[in-house]
Amino acid sequence: MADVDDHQALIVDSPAALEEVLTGHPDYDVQLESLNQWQLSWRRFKRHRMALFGASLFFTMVAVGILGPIVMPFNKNALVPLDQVVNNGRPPMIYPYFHPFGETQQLQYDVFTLVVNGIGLSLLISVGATVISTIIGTIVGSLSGYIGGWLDTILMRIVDALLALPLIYLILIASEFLGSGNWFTVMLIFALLGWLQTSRLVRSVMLSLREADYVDAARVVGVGRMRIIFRHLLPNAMSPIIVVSTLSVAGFIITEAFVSFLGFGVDPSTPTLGNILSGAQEAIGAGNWWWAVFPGLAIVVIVLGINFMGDGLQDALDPRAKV
Amino acid sequence: MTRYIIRRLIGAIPTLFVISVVIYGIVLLSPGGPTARFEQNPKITAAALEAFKHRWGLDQPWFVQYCRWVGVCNPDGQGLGVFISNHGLPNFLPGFLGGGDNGVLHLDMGISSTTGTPVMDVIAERFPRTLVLAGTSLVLWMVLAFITGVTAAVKRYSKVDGAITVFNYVAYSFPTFWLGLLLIIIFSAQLGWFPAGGMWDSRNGQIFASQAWWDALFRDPLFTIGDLVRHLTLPVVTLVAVSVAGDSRFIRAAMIDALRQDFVRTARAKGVSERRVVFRHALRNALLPVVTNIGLEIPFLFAGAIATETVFSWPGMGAQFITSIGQYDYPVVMGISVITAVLVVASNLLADVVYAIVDPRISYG
Repeated sequence: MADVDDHQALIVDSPAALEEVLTGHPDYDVQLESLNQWQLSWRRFKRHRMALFGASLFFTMVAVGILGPIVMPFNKNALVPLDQVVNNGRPPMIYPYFHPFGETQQLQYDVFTLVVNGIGLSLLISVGATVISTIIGTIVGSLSGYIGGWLDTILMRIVDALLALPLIYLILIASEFLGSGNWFTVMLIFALLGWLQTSRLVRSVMLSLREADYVDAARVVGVGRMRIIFRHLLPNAMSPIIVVSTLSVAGFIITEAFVSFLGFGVDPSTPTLGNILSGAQEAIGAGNWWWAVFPGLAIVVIVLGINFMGDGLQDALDPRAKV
Repeated sequence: MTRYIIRRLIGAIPTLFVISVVIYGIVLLSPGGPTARFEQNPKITAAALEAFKHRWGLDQPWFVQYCRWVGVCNPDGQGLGVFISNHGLPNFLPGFLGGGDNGVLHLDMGISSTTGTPVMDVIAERFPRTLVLAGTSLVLWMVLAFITGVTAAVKRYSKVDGAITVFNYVAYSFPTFWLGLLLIIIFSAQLGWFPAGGMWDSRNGQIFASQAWWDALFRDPLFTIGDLVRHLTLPVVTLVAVSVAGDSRFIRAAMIDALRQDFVRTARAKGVSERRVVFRHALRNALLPVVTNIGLEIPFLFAGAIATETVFSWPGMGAQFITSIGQYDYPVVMGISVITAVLVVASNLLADVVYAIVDPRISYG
């Protein structure tokens, strides 16, 4: 980090700064360095306090999700020692037993262990679904926007039609009627139904970019259609795609939680954030609130982090924004 | 204008066609096929099953099934005559114009494979309940979104604005169903102020909109309405809290944009009161994008209703949808999906038309 900052102290973009550098560091040679778009974006992102806060929330949760299952693996067959059996599960406690998030009803699983394992699997599903759906959406949107014509009409008709029904309807129908159960199927269902918004966005970007002079230039030189799309246009469309896919991770986290909560998602004995919650509803009446509260809080922290980060990215990746 | 509306209506047909194919396709691919459930159900007699199979062409290839389900094909027709109704006219026409009486186009969506009741009856019973929940939420949600959005825009960068922004961010990150659980924990399980679910009191209340309910409404309106409101409070709060955030941010942005315009400066310079500037000059212009947005948000209202209805066991369409999916009751699942898709397409269309009416700058040939 210190490295980067030292480096940036040498970047001079105004006479005042030049003077400061000259008087402050007489030993340094003045260097003019141009930063590329990504370096500029990173600079803007670093100055966005909410974005940094969001990113730290999100990546903390990612770290928990990766390390959690290794440090405290969940064993669904583990039984509570007989002398520790309580009717309704224990409330959150640190001592004499270490259950910071309490225990579930009946089987008395440690909610903390469940949550830590659930974060990992839920993030895996939503990040995986985001990657696949972004790729599908980008390809469909690029072809539709750049090639246009009847291909565009057909593809966008299909997208319009699928958007006429709330996504959750299609996901629920597909999960139950086509069968789900393991996390990979759930991820695929999400990915195959979740690319619609991305494709629309990419299409609209492509429509405006394809009129640019450099595209004409490339075409005149004889560059092929696919090469124009993937080498010349897509790199310029990256910013909105990155923002939308960041935000869609949050959407998939909530969707996974809801679908599993209803019992149509991943196999109920596997801890995902939604599965943990699905048992919790019945326990609320008996006073066991911690079972429902802590997994939900984990969802809120992840989603909040992503939303902050997405907002920061949107500002940072906007090339018109001032540094 | 009329031409524009007609063109949009025609444009909606392919949309609805594709979505119906998708819905039908997913169900058709389901393991065991559509008839499996009916055959296991003792409530449905063999004769009813045969009639059902014939009417929906379940012994026919899939395209005939689809065609009959939509209502373009006549189950009694032969050869090319399948497209002709028993009255000798094209089957897709409405019944009173000499068309057929089967299929979605004629509001016939088959019978529930669990109870045997016609799907339209199930929807007719459930829909008003969802309408009560979603309608109340929509009104409250709009009012709150306007109040918070305009306040935040007028007092930009103040503490109020900051508080509203933070609330919006946090509320936006809440999964609807979990917020519902949280409210149940606090206000039902711990404080006991509100019931944890349902739409009427199971001991003293009556089934909503039944004859007994109307009688009770006239006999003791205070209790009946109070009972409804008590059950309505938590689900509505859930739905509103989660939905208000997005619109509030949207209205704030639209207002800030409007307040920056030249005509606002002119109005201020003329000495128009700040109140009038905000509400007459700025807000009216900020309304335009907001109106369009409302139409586009109707799908979220339905999606949100699924979550709230399940958590609060509100006996509406969303809860029925979840129950029916769990029971593989595919006629009901398809019926509710089709109705929802039609409502969504209609609301998008309405938003476009209202936008064209409200904004004098837009004219559609």
